[in-house]
Amino acid sequence: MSNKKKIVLAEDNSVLSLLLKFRLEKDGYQLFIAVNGKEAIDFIETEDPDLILTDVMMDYVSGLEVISHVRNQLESKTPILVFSSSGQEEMVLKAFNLGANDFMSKPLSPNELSIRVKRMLM
Amino acid sequence: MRFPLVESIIWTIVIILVVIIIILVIYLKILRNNIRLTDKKNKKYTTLVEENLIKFLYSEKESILLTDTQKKIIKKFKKGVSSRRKRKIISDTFFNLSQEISGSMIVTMHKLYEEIGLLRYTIKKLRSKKWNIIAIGIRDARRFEIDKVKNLISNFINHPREEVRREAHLYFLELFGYEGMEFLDDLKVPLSEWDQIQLLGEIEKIENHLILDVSKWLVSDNDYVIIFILNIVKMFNRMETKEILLTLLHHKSKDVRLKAIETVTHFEVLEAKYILKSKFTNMSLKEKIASFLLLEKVASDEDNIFIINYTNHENFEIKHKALSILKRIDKNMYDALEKKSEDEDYNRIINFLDYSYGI
Repeated sequence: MSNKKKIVLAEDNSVLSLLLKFRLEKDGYQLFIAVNGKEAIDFIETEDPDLILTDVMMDYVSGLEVISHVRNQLESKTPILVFSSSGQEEMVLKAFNLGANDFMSKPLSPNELSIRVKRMLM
Repeated sequence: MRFPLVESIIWTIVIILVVIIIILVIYLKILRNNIRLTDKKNKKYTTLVEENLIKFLYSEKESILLTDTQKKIIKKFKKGVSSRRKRKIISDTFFNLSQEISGSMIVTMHKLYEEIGLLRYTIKKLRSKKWNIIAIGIRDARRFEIDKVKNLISNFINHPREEVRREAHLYFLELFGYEGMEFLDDLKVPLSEWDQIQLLGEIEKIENHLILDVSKWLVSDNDYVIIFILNIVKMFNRMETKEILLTLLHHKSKDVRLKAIETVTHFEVLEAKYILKSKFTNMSLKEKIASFLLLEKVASDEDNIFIINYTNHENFEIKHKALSILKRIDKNMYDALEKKSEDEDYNRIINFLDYSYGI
């Protein structure tokens, strides 16, 4: 059994998720990459992660629906960090109302993300 | 005897059609297989490019020298760049990532873009004879922030195709911010409404909040440049251009005059009122309506005589504005007006103004 902290990353841009996976694995976390919200929910239910990183806009199931599922269906308090692009400010507010803990706007700095993840998992 | 002949013709046609259908079905099958195969190859190569790109970015050291891993990756990319299909995948992957991240990695990616030879292909596109290839070349230069091709792109500022011009204008604004606006000095062709919206969107994104002197463009020979700059004056509240705005009320172009009236109305420039009143009779209908919008904001009791002359104007909008302004600035004069007229519109406006609260 690995005692690495688990992170579910839901991001539909494959190259960005690969970059973040590389970075966060280097920091010592175990990453589960989901390309859409549906996959993210599956990972969350099976892996019980310590942190969830999700994009707001995704195919099939959006980031907002992921947050809602985690907070309302699973009644979990797992910290959630949301990624948003410019012009999605309203979505970020909705994400906070649904129970997100933090957000980062794109384009994002992998170094800053690493620091925020560390802080959220403390 | 004729029947067998017709029958044989029909059978021949049927056989030909069946053969054609069989050929088409086989062709379609081959085509679909090829598409699937290409798609599979593209996906495989995309994954490879993504992995190599990430490896390259994370194997960067403090030193300016490339690591062995980086050199190997560059070699692989260089090999891929020579194929058009692979070049597109590399370019798209670079772009996908550059849109999502910030910081030093972006600089590294731009360096890599040049190193692997993509810059060479961008320049080749810019030298193409086909307008669509040039537009793609400028877009690539814009997406990857290549400032080295600035001089080459400046040749396209007045390109006959608006798609090329648009890309060139956006290139200058996106890469050079306010300094990039210098392209307006050389602009001889029109700027469509859509172009202006896109350029204003880019200007809004500029993070440098230096106060930009736009006065020289307000006296440009190109009317479209003046109209565009008037939008900027309005957007950024550049009140220091007031004197030029007043001179633009006499501009030879009707569109510029109209935009200038709109701008002085936005700033509620009182001096404009006197100029517009003095030349009111020679104005076009649109200018007259625009002038009444200014009067609606700045008219005072000294304007009552001027206003009353237009309470019976043939245009509904002017008539309505004149009556409502008069009611506001000189209630006695308004009350002294005939309340009934042969003009049904006049009666309706009076009725509306008399029985509406707060007007």
